[in-house]
Amino acid sequence: MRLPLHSALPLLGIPLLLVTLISLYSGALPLSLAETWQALWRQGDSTHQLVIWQIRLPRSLMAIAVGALLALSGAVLQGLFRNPLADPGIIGVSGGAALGAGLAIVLLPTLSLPWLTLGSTTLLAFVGGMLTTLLVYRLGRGPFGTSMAMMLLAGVAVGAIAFSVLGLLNYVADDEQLRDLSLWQMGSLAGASWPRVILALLMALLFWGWSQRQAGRLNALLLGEAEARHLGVAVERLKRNAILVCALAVGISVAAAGMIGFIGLMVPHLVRLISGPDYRRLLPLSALGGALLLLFADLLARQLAPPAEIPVGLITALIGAPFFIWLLHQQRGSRP
Amino acid sequence: MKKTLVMLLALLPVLPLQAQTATESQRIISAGAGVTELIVKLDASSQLVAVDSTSRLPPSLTLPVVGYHRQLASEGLLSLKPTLLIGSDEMGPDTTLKQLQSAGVKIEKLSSRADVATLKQNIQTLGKLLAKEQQAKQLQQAVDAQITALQTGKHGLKKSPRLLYLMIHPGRPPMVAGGNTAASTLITLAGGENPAASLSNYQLLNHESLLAKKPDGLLVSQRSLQQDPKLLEHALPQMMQHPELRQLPLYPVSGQALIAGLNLGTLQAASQLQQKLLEP
Repeated sequence: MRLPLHSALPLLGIPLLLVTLISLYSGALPLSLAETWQALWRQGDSTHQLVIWQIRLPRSLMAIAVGALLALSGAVLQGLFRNPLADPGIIGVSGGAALGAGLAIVLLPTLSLPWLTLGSTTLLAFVGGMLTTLLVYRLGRGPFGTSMAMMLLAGVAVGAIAFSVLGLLNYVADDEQLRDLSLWQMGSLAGASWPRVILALLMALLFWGWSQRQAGRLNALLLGEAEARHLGVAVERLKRNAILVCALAVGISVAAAGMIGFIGLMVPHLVRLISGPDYRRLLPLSALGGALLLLFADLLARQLAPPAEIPVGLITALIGAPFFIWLLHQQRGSRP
Repeated sequence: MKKTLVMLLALLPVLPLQAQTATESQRIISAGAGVTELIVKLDASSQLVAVDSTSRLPPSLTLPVVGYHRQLASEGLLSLKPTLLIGSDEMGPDTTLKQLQSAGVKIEKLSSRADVATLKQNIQTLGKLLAKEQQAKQLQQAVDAQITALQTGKHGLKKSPRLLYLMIHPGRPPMVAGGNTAASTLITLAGGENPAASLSNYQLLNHESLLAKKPDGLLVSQRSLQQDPKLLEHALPQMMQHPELRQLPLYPVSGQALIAGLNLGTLQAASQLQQKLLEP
């Protein structure tokens, strides 16, 4: 399949719009269509207004923003590393963020900064993600520029360190903290508040804008670093900027929603299967696809076990991976 | 005859109705094992609409479960139209609590410290919230009586025995209860001493320390012991070769007693343990 952009956009955009509307309309508290509509215009029952404006709307927008951020950074990193298995974990963000969250949950249960709506877990997850990425980047830099292979290995090693320290924290944590920690690692969009939502949406827009402008250079990079350099791409600068921007994007989404796997790795591949590897199409479609998948997963997370919720990170892979396998299978059938 | 029957019939619903009117409109979600236990004990389970996943309900009662008490989902809770959410100070996350509050749900946090004063305080607070002050007073008196009995019972012990609580699940390494656990409180209430009190929470058992700590007896979960009477031989085959350890008395403890900090079950289990310790 090589769907052109103008037919692939509605293929993902229209379902995204529909799922957004459904996730506003449905939830544990049953609302009629009329009640939803009224509450959306800030009329009618105050509880309904609260549910729409403080719970469902920010949460849906957060799912869209985080899904887009993860898928975009996956797409960019896969090009940068020229490795189909690259995902946001590869530059150390996930491990560092998990370690930061672990420190916050286990060692600093009292530290919270009330002047920020982000709590200590969020803050340290973000800081941890940033610091490990910088470390991995430093380790990958040599006298002849940044070696992607070095970075890849450094990322694995630094990730291993982060996760073993996290294991140590697991060991000293008490039952409550242990449970908090494991739930955080499964990801959840339940904490979405407006300041965070706006931050994440803004970041998603900026990230998409930036990466779209780099689409041509990223395409050139697919040929190889030397080839891209001959084509006039400032490869070193592109690599540095891309890693920083990806770390920022993933840091924000991990801090806001915990660890959500699969989207960064699989969504870009799904999009490539639909419309090919050209970054000019891959980027906007990945953003839409990531948003759609996470929003749909969150809809299920909220609906499957009311009045409780299932961590959304468990669902993304559970619905995404079989679909991906099916698509791979189809692909093989059509091109023997 | 007919008249009497009519009068009787008319009287019948009066009693329960009177009790209900004060709290009829109250719809409570309990998020915490200790809180749920107390609500049930105070005879106020009719006011409950849901509990969290750590709560244990009597078998006659089934209620929706709202998930883990530190990961409450605001919309799920709101869909049950609660008027009051009671939980321990561990309850959260804060965003959910704030959202519930702005939807007009009253939030009440009770301390989860594992001491008798806190338990009595919580009973009093709940008595007020549930309009069950009479029952609360009685329950407090019962707690006092139990504590006094335990204190007197302690004097009957020649020396305070050194007791270790081992948490043994088949196929997993045994864990020992440290100082800040309900199991440790149980041991001290009964008049014993926990040689592992310097540890915090449940820690992996160092097998040799079983000998080094020189315990006078071992506490294990009643249910595990029922499932496997040779529990210790299976979990610690090498250590149990040792004659000293083989002869240690085993004291089964009901798991309910150790779920939520210090609860009523803990006191009960402490009395039972003390009875056994006092036996020659």
